[in-house]
Amino acid sequence: MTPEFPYVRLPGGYRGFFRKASLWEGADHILSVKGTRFNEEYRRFYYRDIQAIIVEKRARAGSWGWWIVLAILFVIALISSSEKDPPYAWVGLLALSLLLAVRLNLALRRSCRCSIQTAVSNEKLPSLFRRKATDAAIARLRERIAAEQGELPAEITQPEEDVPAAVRPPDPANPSAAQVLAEAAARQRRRSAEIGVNLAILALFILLLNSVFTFWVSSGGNQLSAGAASWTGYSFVAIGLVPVFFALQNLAGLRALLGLRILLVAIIVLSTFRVLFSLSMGAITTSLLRTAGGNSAALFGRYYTNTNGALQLAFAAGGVLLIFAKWDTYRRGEASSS
Amino acid sequence: MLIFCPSCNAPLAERFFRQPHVDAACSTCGTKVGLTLFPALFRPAAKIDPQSLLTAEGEATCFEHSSKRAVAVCNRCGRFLCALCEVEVAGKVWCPSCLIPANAAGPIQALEQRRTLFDSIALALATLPALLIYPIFFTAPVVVYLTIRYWKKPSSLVPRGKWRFVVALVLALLVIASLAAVIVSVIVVQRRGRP
Repeated sequence: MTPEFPYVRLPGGYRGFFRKASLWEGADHILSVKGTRFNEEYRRFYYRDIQAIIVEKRARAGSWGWWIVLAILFVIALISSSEKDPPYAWVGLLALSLLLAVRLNLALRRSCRCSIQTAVSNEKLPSLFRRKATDAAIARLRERIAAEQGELPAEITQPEEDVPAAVRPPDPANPSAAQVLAEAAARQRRRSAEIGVNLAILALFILLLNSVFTFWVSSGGNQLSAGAASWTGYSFVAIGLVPVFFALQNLAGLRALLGLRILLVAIIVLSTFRVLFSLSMGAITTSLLRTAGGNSAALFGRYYTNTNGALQLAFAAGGVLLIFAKWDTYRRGEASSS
Repeated sequence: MLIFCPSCNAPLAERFFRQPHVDAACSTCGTKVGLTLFPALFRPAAKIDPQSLLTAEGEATCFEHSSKRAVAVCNRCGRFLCALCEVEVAGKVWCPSCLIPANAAGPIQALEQRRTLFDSIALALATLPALLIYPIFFTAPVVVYLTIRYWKKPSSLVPRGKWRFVVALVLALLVIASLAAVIVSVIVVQRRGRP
């Protein structure tokens, strides 16, 4: 008698707000289930027909949409919390930080895109997008498919030449698989480094603008209210952090760019400290007003703003100098050596 | 024997196809690709001699094509079938004239491409309209209808419980009961208020 559900779930699975996908192991086929919340579409891949499982390895699972949404939420939370009761502000920021941490955790894990090839189709498997789950699923599928198809023929798996690679002279016209791999990896690192450096320059430019804005506010020559000035500053921070995170993603693993990576991490620390400190400024000013008087409070505020602006300027200028001093290293040559 | 780069669709170099599990890279775009290969990739395409399909003297012929040799028998109606007419579904051999009406009468599981999840629809109708408060009074009867109508209909090919239907039905009945209670109390109050 056939069981009601003749499928066993394979590792992996995608569950978005609107779309979902999963992979199931059947008696003689794999069932790929894709769909929305209200329907499911099925594709069957018979073990005897599967030619290859192709996994495109991706360093990180990044998506612009998520970062933009987080940045907007961050700004909204700051704007809406700045003039209300502090507990709400902290709860909102805590929740947002948690979301950011979850997103960062997702983004920094290794990801992939998996597809399955038969003689007549090449179908994407959206449920397999994490490398760990993909490896586990493939390990299980290999056993099932090998039981159906057997192992690869010996004439295919035997080495191309009996001469060891170390004593074989390199042939530029017909590079070995290892050479192709090395060249491709170097090309990918160069591209990644270039994108990372460009994003870092953008982040430093935003930091520079923020420092100019901070000095302008501190000089008192503006007509902005204290609240509007704070919101604008926070917006600069939120917008500036997006390219910082993306730059770090692209520069990950590039040893030659360690200095730039440290600088970007320092910018994140500075920005976080600045936001947290600014949110506590109300309480600090009130306590200073009570204990030391109005002049001390105003003086503290001005010192704080100037220090803040100077630090941002120092970071931005240092970063720009760092990049332009080693421009060739960053953009081309050594950037490729990880 | 071709495998294409999933990023740029360029064919990957055949020198990578020498191990069952290998890390390759696209020589065009540099994308790193993990390949798991199976013998089906190296299996040559079956060549069919058209002459071998034609019937010889004394051989059984296809019910639909009298000039073609019969290679199978329909498991349902017993007709002789040629290689063109033979359809294998879930381990059984069918002829097209049996398969089409059988699938129309009740879908054959191995051929199903799509299913609607009525339990999810019922749950969504029982919960989401509550955000706007009033629409829930219109969707609650629909939820009850969907639950009763599709309770026994198989929902998914893969394991899936009926808890969505249960939750949706309970919520819908609560809404209907509360609506009925409000209507009854309004009528009672109006009657008592009359002189």
